[in-house]
Amino acid sequence: MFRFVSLRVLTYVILAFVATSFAYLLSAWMMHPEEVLYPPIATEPVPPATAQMYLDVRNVNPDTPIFERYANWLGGLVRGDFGVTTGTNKSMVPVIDELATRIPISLRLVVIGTAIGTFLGILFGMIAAVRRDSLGDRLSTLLAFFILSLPTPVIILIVQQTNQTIMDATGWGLPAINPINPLLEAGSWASISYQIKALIMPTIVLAVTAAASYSRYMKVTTLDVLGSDYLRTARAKGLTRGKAMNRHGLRMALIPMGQYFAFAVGGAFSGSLFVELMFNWQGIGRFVISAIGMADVNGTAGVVFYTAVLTLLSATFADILQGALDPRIR
Amino acid sequence: MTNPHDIRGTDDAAKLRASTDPEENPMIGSTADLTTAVDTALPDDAAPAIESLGRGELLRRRFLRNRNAWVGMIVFVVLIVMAIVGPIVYQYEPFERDLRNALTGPSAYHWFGVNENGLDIFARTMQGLRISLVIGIGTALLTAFLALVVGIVAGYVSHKGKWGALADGALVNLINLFLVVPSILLLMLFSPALQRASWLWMIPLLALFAWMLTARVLRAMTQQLVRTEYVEAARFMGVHPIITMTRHIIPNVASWIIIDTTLGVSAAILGETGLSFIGFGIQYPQVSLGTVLQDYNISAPYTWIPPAAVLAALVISINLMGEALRDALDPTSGSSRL
Repeated sequence: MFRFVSLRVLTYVILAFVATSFAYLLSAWMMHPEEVLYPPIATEPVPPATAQMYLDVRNVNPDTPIFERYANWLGGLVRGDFGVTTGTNKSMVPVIDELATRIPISLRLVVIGTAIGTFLGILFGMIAAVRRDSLGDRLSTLLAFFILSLPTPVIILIVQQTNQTIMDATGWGLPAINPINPLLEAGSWASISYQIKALIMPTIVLAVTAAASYSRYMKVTTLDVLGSDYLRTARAKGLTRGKAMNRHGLRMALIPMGQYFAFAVGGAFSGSLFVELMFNWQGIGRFVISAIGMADVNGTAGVVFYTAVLTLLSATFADILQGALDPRIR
Repeated sequence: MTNPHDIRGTDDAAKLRASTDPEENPMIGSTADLTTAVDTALPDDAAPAIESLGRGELLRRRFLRNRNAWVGMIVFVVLIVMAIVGPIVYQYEPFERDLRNALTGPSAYHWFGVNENGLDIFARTMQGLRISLVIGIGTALLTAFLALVVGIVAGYVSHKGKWGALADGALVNLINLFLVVPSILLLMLFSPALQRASWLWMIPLLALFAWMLTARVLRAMTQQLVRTEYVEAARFMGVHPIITMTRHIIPNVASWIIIDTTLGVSAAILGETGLSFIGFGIQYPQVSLGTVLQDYNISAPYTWIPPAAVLAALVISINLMGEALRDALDPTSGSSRL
């Protein structure tokens, strides 16, 4: 099993490296940070030497060959330096600092939402498969069908509008936007309870979208397991339906789910991008939208690196889970 | 088992058959050789033979029997008619400002109301529906084509020696590479530059990031088909690989491609809407359902509910048709599929 996991991890590391390199080269090639540097309202032209130095310091000088810039960036990456932000903001914040403040905000959303969504999806999918054609099965299948047919912004709007309607009617509701309330004293109970309340709606959105797709996959794999020989043998030995399912079926049904989970984190990231935008959370999603908008090459590459690492970690987790669940691999 | 010393030819067999009495030994003696028996086999006034159904006819019947398929088709056709007729008969243009009525609800003049910038929501929704439909259908067709070419070629060459296996391995790793980075990031990177040229660039761009999973499934299906006897026979007869692919492999995976293309339309519409919503999709001179949703205002629900409802109706109708197609194709659908 160790060999299996370590081989997989090596493949993922190579993939993450290639993906990030690609993303850097692409963004360095597609984006033109020098274009956003000269505002049309500037009264006098910037001296060429100053402009050159300005671009060189940020490693975005278009006169430097792209592979030299890439080598510079790679050299920094080895030392844990992602370069500095560029674009209309001239403050040159190191990308690593920007990521460090924003990752906890996004990760909190993604991890809690994915965990709740996975749990609910597996639960509903299994119930739908075991109690086939019951009211619960029809309802959850229909609900999953509708949720998967809606784009994430519409789901967010439905949740926000529901909250707003309740608030208008009863005067009590969850905070509409913003993860924290700067008016409340930091560390006080009021501030912490506000943060928890503010987390509820974004988590509902992410959990519901994740649960919808997980429940569909889980239903299919569970139905496959229910028709299998070993489960019939277990029933023939005298186990009840529930016992056989819990002791033998669930484990086998979860194995294909592990592989699906590995790449679903990418979906959770794009989901959190909409959530951060519409709930005004200053996380990675908002950062990348503004970074791409103002041609911030280093910032974009940093975010791609973050998503690649996130996918890599979840894929490794899924492999370890698979190794633990599947007796054929050990 | 054939005995190698047995060198009797067909003449001998015919002689043996003729000399054997069919009543006595039905295995060797044949009634077909008796001229008297032929006429009595089929009476003239026999009932017409049971009509055998072709595969396409069977699919069509199963599909039309499904109530969800009808609902999906009717809603889809209604939406297409609305998208074509709506902008022609309606009096406002998608970028015509009526600032006096800004942020007012549905009325006789503004059917869906006016948003806070004074833009008519019905006009924008209909125009957006047009764009979303074109992009959805175009992307799905292009995706199917890309996936078909890559998947079938990879599946076909994967058993053809070292180079084939190498090409196949490269494809699988390419698919994984696309899956490591969320495609929305790469779409955001490419889209603004291409949007400056034409909004139609959205179609190849979305297709470029959507073909991978379909190609993977097609590759697996082709690998199974390549091992069948008739493909092997075609190969030994010296049929050109491309003819083998078009004549023997594509017809076998065609039904699956049709389903996938149908569901791909809704996936493309969802992708385009999301991208336009965050401002990296369809740009100013054009409107998409995503850009219409962008102007949402929580305190005025009519600013977002009509475009969201149209979008949901569009995607749901396509998904209903796709799932009905899948049910029609899958003989075990009643018992083992969703």
